[in-house]
Amino acid sequence: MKNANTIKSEKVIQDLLPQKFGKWGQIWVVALVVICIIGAYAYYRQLSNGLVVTNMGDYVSWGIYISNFVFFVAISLVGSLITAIFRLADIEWSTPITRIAEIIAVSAIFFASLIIIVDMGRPERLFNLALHPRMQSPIMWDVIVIGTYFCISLLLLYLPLLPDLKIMLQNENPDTKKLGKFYKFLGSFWKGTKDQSKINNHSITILSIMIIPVAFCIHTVTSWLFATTYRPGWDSTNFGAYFVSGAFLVGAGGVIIAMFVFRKAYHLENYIKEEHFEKMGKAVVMLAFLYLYFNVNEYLVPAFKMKKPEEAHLTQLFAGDFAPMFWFAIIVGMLLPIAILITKKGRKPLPVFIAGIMVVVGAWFKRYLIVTPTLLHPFMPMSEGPARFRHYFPSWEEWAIAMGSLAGAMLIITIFARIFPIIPIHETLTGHDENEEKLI
Amino acid sequence: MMKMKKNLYRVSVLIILVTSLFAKAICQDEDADVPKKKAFVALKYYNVENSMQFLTLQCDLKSEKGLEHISKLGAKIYLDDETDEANLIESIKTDQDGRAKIYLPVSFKDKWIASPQHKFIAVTDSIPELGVRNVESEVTIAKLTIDTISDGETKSVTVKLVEKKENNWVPVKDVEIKLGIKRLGSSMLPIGDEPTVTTDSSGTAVAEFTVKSIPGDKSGNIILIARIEDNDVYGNLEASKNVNWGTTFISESNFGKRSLWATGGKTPIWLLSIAGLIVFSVWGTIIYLVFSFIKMRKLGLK
Repeated sequence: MKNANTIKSEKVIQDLLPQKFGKWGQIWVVALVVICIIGAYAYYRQLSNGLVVTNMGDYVSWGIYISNFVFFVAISLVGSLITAIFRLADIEWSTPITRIAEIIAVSAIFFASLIIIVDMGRPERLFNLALHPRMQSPIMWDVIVIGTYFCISLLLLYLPLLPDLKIMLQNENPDTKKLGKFYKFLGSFWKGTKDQSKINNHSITILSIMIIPVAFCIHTVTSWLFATTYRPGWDSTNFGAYFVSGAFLVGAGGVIIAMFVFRKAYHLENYIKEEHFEKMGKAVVMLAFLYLYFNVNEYLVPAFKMKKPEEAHLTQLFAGDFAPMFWFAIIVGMLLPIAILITKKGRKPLPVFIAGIMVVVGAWFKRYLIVTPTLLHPFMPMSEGPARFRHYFPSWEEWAIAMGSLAGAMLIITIFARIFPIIPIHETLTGHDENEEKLI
Repeated sequence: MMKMKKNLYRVSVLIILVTSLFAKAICQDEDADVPKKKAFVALKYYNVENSMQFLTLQCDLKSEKGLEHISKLGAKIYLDDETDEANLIESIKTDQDGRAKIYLPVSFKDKWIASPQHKFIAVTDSIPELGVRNVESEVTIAKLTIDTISDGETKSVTVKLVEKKENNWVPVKDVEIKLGIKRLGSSMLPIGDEPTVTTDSSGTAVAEFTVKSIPGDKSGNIILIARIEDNDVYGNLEASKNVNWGTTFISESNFGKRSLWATGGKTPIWLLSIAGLIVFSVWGTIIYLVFSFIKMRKLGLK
């Protein structure tokens, strides 16, 4: 019996140890690297020539960069959803997807920080935030909370990885032979003793508790960057909850995509089962309904009142230039995923994956719609401003940088999965999360 | 009966026809008389505190679009006679509001005091489709003074208007003078029930100051103003006097104090405390976790 268990454990370890990229994996990495290089070149052009290379102007001073920033912040919230909330709520089926959620959170929040710097015409002035802090500004709160969330997410990714590092050092893996020193540097001290486990488990529990309010703060504060500005479309007390609910939805969508891709690429069908898609599908339905509810609140109330300044903004969204994108975000980002995932058949891996893509793509356009149309409708339009101020379409540099950042985030996730086990080995072997500490 | 109805119908038609033809003819005449554009050029004389004399020129154009200011319109302002270039006070140009202002230069002092009556003439450059405009403004030299009487309980304001006749100053009667307390801009708050007073045969008018608790400056000073506006003979005259009849006003400015809209160094204490507490709690915990990690590492390296 013991021998059978050992064989089973060895099989699990072999299955879950990092593997070399296959042909498609290599193509995928090269494509991402190329997109990143194009983005880096576009940023070099922006640094050399200034923000003039963008199509932002006096009206739309926050364009695709800030839309992308909000998107990254939103998707990063998934770390707290899967890792912390599920962990604290004793939801054991989430074990195989916790690390996927954690790495998505880390890479997204890293690029959220980067894209803010990209949006600055003079990035070297970032240090002025530290030299001349102004605590009254929501931008200052955002910088603090992003930094904090990044550190907590990184710790929450690293500490549960320690037992896996020990397993990786004990089991030779020809696919990661060159990384031995790196693994030793990260986890050679981990012996798995009782004292070490106690400290580690305690730390993970603290992080799981702490990350929830910080995650709520990060997205609430990001929403306040808009809501504390008196403008049509942003002047809302609903914005914090609206942003948080949307973030949970896109985060869950992101995890579903990653689950499906890693499952296919690394043949993890025995670990990421149909049950996981079934349950994540249900979670997405609930989150999509929640987000839809906040959308109805956000648009129906001002549309019913139709105050003059709101009128132009809402008309543009409902029936104007932004209408195709608006209805795409609502239908493809929320309604269709609900329609697919509400049935049992729709919660099979492929339909769930398709619904996940819809959620994420719809969410990206939704962030664009939150930022841009409002900026095009100021309370006091310029009487003699150039006509180009009234329209905004990102320049190729903006697109390249934005797409480069998205590719960069995906590259980090891909490389992480190449170096570390994307499914926690130790937790899978023990059958439950040993790191978990009962709260009560 | 039928015939009568027929006649009534014919007469009605005839009346309508005649009336409409007549009305059309009148309208055509009016249309023919009314030019499509009309220029309004006004030259006004001002004398403030009997010392500062200046003129304003306002040029507007009425067209189908409505009333527009004529900007950058050149004009020459003469004293008494525009045919002699020696009388040219100044060449001016209107601003974007169609307005130009010039002060009477000291070099014209001798000409000014030589006669009690004067005429200012403005000759504009050619206005498109309308040509040159020539406007005049005649003034008689006059002095407006303001004084106050206070016996503790009642306060009165006295104004006196005199005009120059030959070499003497003669009182002027029956001239309406606005009297009030200076407010922001050029408006005035009336000092009594009536906003204006009229001079008697001695050129004097008196009004009781009935305003209670008017805010003044830091010392309670207010400025009383007497003003003659657009008078056909004297133009625009203004005299003022500072009096200590107001209540002291101490401005309470929040500028430079701790507030949500102040600079970073002036953050409200409550915000600093709450933000500091949150940041230190969270980062304190993170630092604690880092120390725990170091401890855990040491345990493994033993």
